[in-house]
Amino acid sequence: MASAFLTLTTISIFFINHTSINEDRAHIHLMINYAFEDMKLRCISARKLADSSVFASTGTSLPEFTFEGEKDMYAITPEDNSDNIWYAYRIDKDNNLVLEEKPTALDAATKKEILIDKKYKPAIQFEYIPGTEPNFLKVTISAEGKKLDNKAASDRITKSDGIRFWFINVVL
Amino acid sequence: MFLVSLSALLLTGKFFQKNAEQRSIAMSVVSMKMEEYLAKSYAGLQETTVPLTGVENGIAWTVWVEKKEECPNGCKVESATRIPYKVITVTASYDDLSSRGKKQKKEVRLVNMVPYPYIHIASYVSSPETLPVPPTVPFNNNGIVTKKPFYDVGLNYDQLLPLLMKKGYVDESLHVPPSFNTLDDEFKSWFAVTTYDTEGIPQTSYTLTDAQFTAIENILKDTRNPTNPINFQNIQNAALTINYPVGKHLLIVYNISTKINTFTNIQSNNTILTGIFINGVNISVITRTPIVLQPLISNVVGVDLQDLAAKGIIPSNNGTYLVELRWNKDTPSGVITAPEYNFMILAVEEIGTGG
Repeated sequence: MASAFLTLTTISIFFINHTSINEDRAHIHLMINYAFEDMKLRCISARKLADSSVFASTGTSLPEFTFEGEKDMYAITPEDNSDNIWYAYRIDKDNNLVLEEKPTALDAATKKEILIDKKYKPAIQFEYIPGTEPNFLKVTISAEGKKLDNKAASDRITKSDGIRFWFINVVL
Repeated sequence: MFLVSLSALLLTGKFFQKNAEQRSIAMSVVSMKMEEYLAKSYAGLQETTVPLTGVENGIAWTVWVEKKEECPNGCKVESATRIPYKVITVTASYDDLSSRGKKQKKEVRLVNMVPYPYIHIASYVSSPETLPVPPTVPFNNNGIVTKKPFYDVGLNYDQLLPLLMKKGYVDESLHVPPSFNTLDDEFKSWFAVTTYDTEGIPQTSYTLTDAQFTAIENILKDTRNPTNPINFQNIQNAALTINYPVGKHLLIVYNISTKINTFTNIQSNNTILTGIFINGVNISVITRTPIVLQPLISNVVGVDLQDLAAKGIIPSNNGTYLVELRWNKDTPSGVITAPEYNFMILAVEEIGTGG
């Protein structure tokens, strides 16, 4: 009786642990994918870059990206700047990967959306690679999840994607 | 039994999760590479003879760029319309692990098409750095006899030219002697046709009317007129060659700033003339800009290229067109140069021509 109970408990813990690992890592993948989709939709109609977000043609890597874009990313009005707002993708002081909205490039954020929570220790890098088009950036996001198994080299999930800009170049 | 099955299910689930993660990372790599290549212009997408390869986040990727053609009316005929486009294929391969620990290579592939551009731009911009010696506006009044003026008034150039040359009205180099003034009776007699009326009396008529003879005289005299486009000469580098497999309309824009280097005897009503030529034929309205009062010449010309070629107004030259800006002044006086000028062609696809 006792051994059956012990076996049942062990298997249950094993079951719960692996379910938790799978759920955790799947959640990270979802958050990273969501962040990429958000960037692709929002950046494509960007109209202006903050001075700190301009890249050198020789190749630059930046930890955050600030630009002026459409308030409604589904209604692109390049002839009308009155419906624009500034956005910033960055790691905030609490170590969350956030999307901030603000009235100008230098103002404090008026609205903040957490794309990846600090518990996953997110990191983000915006990179211009020489030889690619001046309106194209590579974005790499990584986050820490539970190890899938003990043989896994790392518990960090790293993914990259590309974002294009219609109206501006990101290279000086 | 139930617990054993549950454990087996969990272990299998672990492999599914691992493979799903690898597949997800591979998908983000192909998505990124596809975005990178879609950001390039049609001309900037270089066709690959060997695939481009690399590794990103531990995933090996390859990229192929191929140029293909679509023939709306079939490709069998040599002269069939061929519309080019490019195909980008991005592949990423990753390791897929089975629950028995067996590794398999699997691939994800994205394919996208880049159509032939709807709009093209070609341009030339001069500057003191690239053109240290600015071109001088020419004065030319010794033009050659060409087909278009005859075509415009319904006369057959190919039939008339040998007769004009035989009479000495046009020389071997197609120039008209300065002494020419009118067509003489002998020349007109070559067009006489004799018929007989009902009483057998000969009646003379001419295959060309008096108005047509006058038109021929005017065409020949006009070759010595500096305002005639045949006397216009090229502006250095203001010539662009275009060749598009798809029919295009052109919008040609040019701006020329002028400077009078020598003012001697230039009158207030003397002008600089400009015009657009395609494959050597003037196709646009001639602009006339006063030399003294207006130091800037600007013009915009719209051209239906296919219509001009179809009507034989410009020689087709297998779809290659040399678009030139030419100029002349209507006075031999003065020296005028163009310190800066620009010349731009905007080619837009025709709509509704069926290719």
